[in-house]
Amino acid sequence: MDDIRLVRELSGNAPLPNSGDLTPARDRLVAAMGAEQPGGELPRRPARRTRRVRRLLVAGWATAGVAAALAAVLVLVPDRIGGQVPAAHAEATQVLHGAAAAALQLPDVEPRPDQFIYTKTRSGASTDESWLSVDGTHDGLLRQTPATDDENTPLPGCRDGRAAVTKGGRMDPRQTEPCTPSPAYLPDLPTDPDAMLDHLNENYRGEPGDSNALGKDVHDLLASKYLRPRVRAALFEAAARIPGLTVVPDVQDGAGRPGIGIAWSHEGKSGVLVFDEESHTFLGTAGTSAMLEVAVVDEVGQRP
Amino acid sequence: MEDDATIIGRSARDPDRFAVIFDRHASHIHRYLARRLGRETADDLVAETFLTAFRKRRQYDPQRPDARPWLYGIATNLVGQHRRDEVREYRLRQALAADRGEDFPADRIDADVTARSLRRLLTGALAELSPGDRDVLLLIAWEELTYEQVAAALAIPVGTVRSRLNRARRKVRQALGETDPSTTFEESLSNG
Repeated sequence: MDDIRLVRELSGNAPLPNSGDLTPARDRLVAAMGAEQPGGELPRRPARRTRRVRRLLVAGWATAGVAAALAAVLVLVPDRIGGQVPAAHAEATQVLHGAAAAALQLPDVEPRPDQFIYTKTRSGASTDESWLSVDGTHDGLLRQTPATDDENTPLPGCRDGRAAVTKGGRMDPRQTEPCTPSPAYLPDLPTDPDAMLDHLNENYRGEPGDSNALGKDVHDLLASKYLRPRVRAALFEAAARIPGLTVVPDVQDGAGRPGIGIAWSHEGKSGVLVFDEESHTFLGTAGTSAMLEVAVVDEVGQRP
Repeated sequence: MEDDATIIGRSARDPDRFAVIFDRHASHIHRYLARRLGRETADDLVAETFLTAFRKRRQYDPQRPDARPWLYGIATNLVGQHRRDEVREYRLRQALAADRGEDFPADRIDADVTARSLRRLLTGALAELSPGDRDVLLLIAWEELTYEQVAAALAIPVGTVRSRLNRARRKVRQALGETDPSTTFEESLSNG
C-alpha cells in the first residue's frame, strides 16, 4: 500500500485557481508595493495587522456558517422603488433596507458573558449545531450531523491567554496553546449605519472603501457573531452603502431555500448573501450555508 | 528569464518587480492553502503570504534561485495560526465524504462505500497528526516538494524532514490498518 499516493489522491484533483481568483490578493500586494515607492503613501499596515490576525481566528466560522438569523420572522416591506429606478444597485439597496427592517423585528436579548450562543446551520445534507462562548473564555462545542467518527469538536475557551489543546476530538486540559479570546458577542458594535461603515473600514480586512473586502466583512460578522437587532439593522444599512452591489436573482441558500441574492464586486466571489424574496429576512449564503436557528442559552448542549 | 533570487534582490530597491514573484507562484500557493484551509480562507491567506514575503524580501537567501519553497514556508506558518480551522476543514471533508454517492449505479455502490470509508479514515488520520508532521507530509504528498525543499521551506534539517515524514506515514498506515485495507481500496479511491 502506497500511503503517500493515498494521501495525494485525498487532495483531489483541485485545479489551480484562475488569475481572476487571485486578483484581490494581487491588488493588495500592488498596494503595498506602491506604498514603498518614493513619494508613495506610507504603509499603514503594521497598525492594522494585529487586529487583522485576531479577526482571522474567527474567520473559519464564516465557512462553518455559524450565524445569527431568525428565518421565522416575516416582515413585508413596501416597494419603495416604484417603476422609475430599475437599476440593479437600487434594487440591491432596497433588499438590504428590507433586511434591516426585518432585523428590527427580532427579539432583543442581551447575552451574559457566561452564556452561549446556540446556532443551527445547514450546508447541504450536513447540519451543524454550535455553542459558542459569549465572552470567548468558556469551552464551547461544534456538533455536526451526519457525523462520522467524531461528531463533536470541542472549542476550548481562552482563559488568561491559554486554551486547551484538542486531540482526537477531545480537549486535553494539561496541554495548552496561546490564544486570543473569540467572543461570540461584541457588546460595543455600532447601532448607527455610518458608525458601522466606519467600524468596518477601521477594523477589518482591506483598505477603506474596498467593496469586495467590505462585503466579506459583512458576511463574516453575520456568520460569526451574535448581533442584536439594532446592530444587525445597522450592518445591513451600512452594507447598502457599499458601492458595486448587484442583485443575483433565483438563488438558494445552503438548505435549498429560494431567495434573492446580493453580491459585491468580483462577480460575487465574496459570497452571495441570500434574503427571503418577500420579507427580505437574511437566510444564509448561496449554495453553502443556511441559518436555521439562533438563541442565547445557559449551557453547552442546551437547545431553545 | 531571470530567476526568482535576482528579481527579489532587485525588488529591494524597486518594489514593483516583486509582482513577478506573485505571478509565478501565487496559483500554487493558493491551491495549497485551499487544500488545507478551504477556499475562502485561502483567498485571504494567499494575500497575507505575499505581503509577508514582500516585507521579508531583503532577508531572502540569494543562493536559492527558486522562491517557491520559501513561499510554501511562509504559507505553512500562516496555516499554523489556523490550526483549529484546518482540523475543522478535514472534519468537514470527512462529513462530506460520508454523504456522497447516492447517485451511483448499484454495482458501483460497494466500491464507493469502500472509497468513502477510506477517505474518512485518511482525513481523520490527517486531523490527528501533530502539526509539524502534517506540514511535512502534505508538502511532500500534495505539493510534491523534495526533502531538501521542505527543509528549506520549514527551516529544519533534512534529517528532521525524514523523521517527521516517517512518523506521519506510520500513523496514516496505522489508521488505515485498523480496517485491514486491501488493494481494492486504492482502486476504488481513484475511481471514486
